[in-house]
Amino acid sequence: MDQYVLSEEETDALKKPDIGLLYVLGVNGQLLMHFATMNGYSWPEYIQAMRDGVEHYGPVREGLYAMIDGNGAT
Amino acid sequence: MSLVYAGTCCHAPGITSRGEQADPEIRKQLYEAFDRQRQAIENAHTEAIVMVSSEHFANFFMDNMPTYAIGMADEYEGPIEDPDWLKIDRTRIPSNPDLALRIIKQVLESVDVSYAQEWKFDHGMAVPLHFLTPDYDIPIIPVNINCQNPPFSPLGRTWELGKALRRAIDAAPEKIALIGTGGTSHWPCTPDSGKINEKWDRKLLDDLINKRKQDLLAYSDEETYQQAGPGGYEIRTSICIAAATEDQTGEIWFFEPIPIYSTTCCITTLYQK
Repeated sequence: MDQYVLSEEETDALKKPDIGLLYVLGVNGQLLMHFATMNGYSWPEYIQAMRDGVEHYGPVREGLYAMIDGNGAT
Repeated sequence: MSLVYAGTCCHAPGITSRGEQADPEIRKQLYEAFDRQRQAIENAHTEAIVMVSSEHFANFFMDNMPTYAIGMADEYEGPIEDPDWLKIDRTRIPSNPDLALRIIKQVLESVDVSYAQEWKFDHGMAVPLHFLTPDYDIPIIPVNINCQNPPFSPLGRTWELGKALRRAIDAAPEKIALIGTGGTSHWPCTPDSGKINEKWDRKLLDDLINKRKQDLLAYSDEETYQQAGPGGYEIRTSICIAAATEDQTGEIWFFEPIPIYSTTCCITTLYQK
């Protein structure tokens, strides 16, 4: 991973991996779901990991998912 | 011979990867609707399918994101995802590069498009093809619209792409089907995955089959995101098909919210010769 410009937090989240933190950091789900599957997450475990991440780390900080409150359709 | 059939269908990966987790009766009805669309394509003696989809960072990434791209390869391969995950075997998909080149050149007369001689299909193409051309015996010409990350094509420009595709298809001697994939409300791969806005989806489908251009072009990205999630940006694929078939009223062949597939699954016919 040395070839990429990553913060310590980003590097740690990738190495661990911390799916919830990666989601909060702004990783697009179309990529994150495959990364989670590669790391042994079932679909429900992946969804729960993102929910846990938001609860633990707070709202998504940047990227596509930072545009809304995360509550979906009204 | 020109356009012989056009329609839209869903492409959610859950349709195959989590297929068995839906209500068996609803899944059966969905698969039957896909088969009806397959038969319509075959009955029209289709010689090539132009498939308009929105791929998901499989080929086009943030370092170089075309707003529109059309494939002109000899053949394609897919799915790019793990076949065991998508539950679709990886295979080669034939194309017709000569026809693709003619379509690209015609489209370029009015709309700027990128082209690609290499393209690996993700679920946006692979799921529909699994049902619509299960023997992979009809040449496919892929068209991609960026619906993954803003800034996006204004809907008016997407409409013009549809018109340009229709002109290009009508100029070709081959019998061509035009299929758009994706585009109802969904929050894919997010904590909201499975959430569906059925009311929004019904309005969209009604606008599509009735080709209400003014209403279709009035969907703003902000409202779409709020009401239909990031997956809602894919309305561009179906709006493109509606533009290409503005001369005919369409029909809804299947409509069912299926949360385990993360979206409302829809199949429409928007044009029949």
